[in-house]
Amino acid sequence: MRNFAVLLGCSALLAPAFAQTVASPVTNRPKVATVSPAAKPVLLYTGKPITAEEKDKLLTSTFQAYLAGAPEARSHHLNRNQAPPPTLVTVDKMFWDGIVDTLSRSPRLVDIGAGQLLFDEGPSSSLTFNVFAKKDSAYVIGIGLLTVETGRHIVICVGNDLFTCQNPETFQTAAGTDVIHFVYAFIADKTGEVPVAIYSPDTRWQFLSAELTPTPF
Amino acid sequence: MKKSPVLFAALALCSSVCAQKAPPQIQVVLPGTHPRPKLAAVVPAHKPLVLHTGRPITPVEKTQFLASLVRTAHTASPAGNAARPAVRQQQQQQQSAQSAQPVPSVVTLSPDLMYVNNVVSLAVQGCDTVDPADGLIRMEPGLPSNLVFTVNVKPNTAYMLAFKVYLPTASAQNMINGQNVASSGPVQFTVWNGPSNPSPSNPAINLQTFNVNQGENEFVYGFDSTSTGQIPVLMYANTWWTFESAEFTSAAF
Repeated sequence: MRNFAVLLGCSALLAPAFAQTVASPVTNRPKVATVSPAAKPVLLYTGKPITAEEKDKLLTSTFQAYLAGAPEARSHHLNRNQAPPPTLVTVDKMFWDGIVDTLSRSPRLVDIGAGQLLFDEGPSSSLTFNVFAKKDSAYVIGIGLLTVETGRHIVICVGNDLFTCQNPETFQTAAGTDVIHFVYAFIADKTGEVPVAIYSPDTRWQFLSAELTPTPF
Repeated sequence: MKKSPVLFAALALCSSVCAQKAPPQIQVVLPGTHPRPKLAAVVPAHKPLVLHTGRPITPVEKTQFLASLVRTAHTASPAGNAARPAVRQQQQQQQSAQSAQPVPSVVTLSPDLMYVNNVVSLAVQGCDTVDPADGLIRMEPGLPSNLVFTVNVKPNTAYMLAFKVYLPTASAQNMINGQNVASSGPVQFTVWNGPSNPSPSNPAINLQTFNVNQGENEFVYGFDSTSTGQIPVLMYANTWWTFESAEFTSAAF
């Protein structure tokens, strides 16, 4: 009799709780067209944390390189005052609706509660940032990683598929330094999704964070 | 003789500088960004139950399932809580003191929300794709590609996980890297409490295997606890599958 009362109470408590639950978390977002950067993206790796000044210089040089190949855009100027605040991508928050989302391919381990997003060596284990680029904007992505072995290589490129990606850039990480900071900048002259993928050919690595800063021009 | 203290001081200074310039330690074990104290691993008080009807699990079925967990807990240990109200009251006081914030009774884990602090967390090993924006984690066939739900349990509490998964059907849309990933033959899920690499000292407990259908699937897994700690729930399938969500419910009794 006592058990029956417990069950009855349990049922009464749970009924409203179930009613509040969202049925399905799967999002069916509209896909936007994939676009290529307007000019070759530029990579900066110094072996040390990248300063705000270095990021700004990279933004300027990337924009100037774009202008050199796009005479019709020479009247444009970087409008830093209208730049929205940077978007921080972390293991806890891997996508920002309408700004950037991520795709982890064959990660070794995903344990968000422990703050771990771990990848194997090789191009099949990779992380892609899908940047929702706006027309006439420059983008700077600062990325932080932790590598298991030092003095190894990181590859970054634009593309959905690492085996066919465009403009791959490879750099060797500094010996004795396992926390890696680097910055990647590109220009968008169309609205659409720009996929930026990273992997390491020769070491396991862990994603720490990425900061995306758009600047209109 | 007068130079000795000077030499000694120089030597001491030099040794401390040399010590500071030692090459940095390379961390082989990646630490993560959320170091948390780990609770002791415990096991369910009774064998977990599974409910798979081949249809979406209704709220009524969930309620009945949870009630059956509670009934099992009471039936299997009639001299348990009812006979010891003082002990139970003390445990409840300890529970409320331990949790600074009230824990919601129902939370839904998804590829975009893979943990609720101090309640439940989801770890994924060897998966094919994690796409939080599209709300999917695509798993490969076999044990190396597994999900582990770690449930932080409290005494005299029943826990229920209602899973939504998708198993590819035989259609042209289910090609991955040129391979048709549709399941052929019976599709089986395996669930146990324990690590992905069980050993005699850390075995897979309460191993259960059950058949599911192609396409969208829902099933419910539940257990009760009589202790405080963490209970891992590992699951994998013998085919490609996609994890969509897990509705986690806890109910003290």
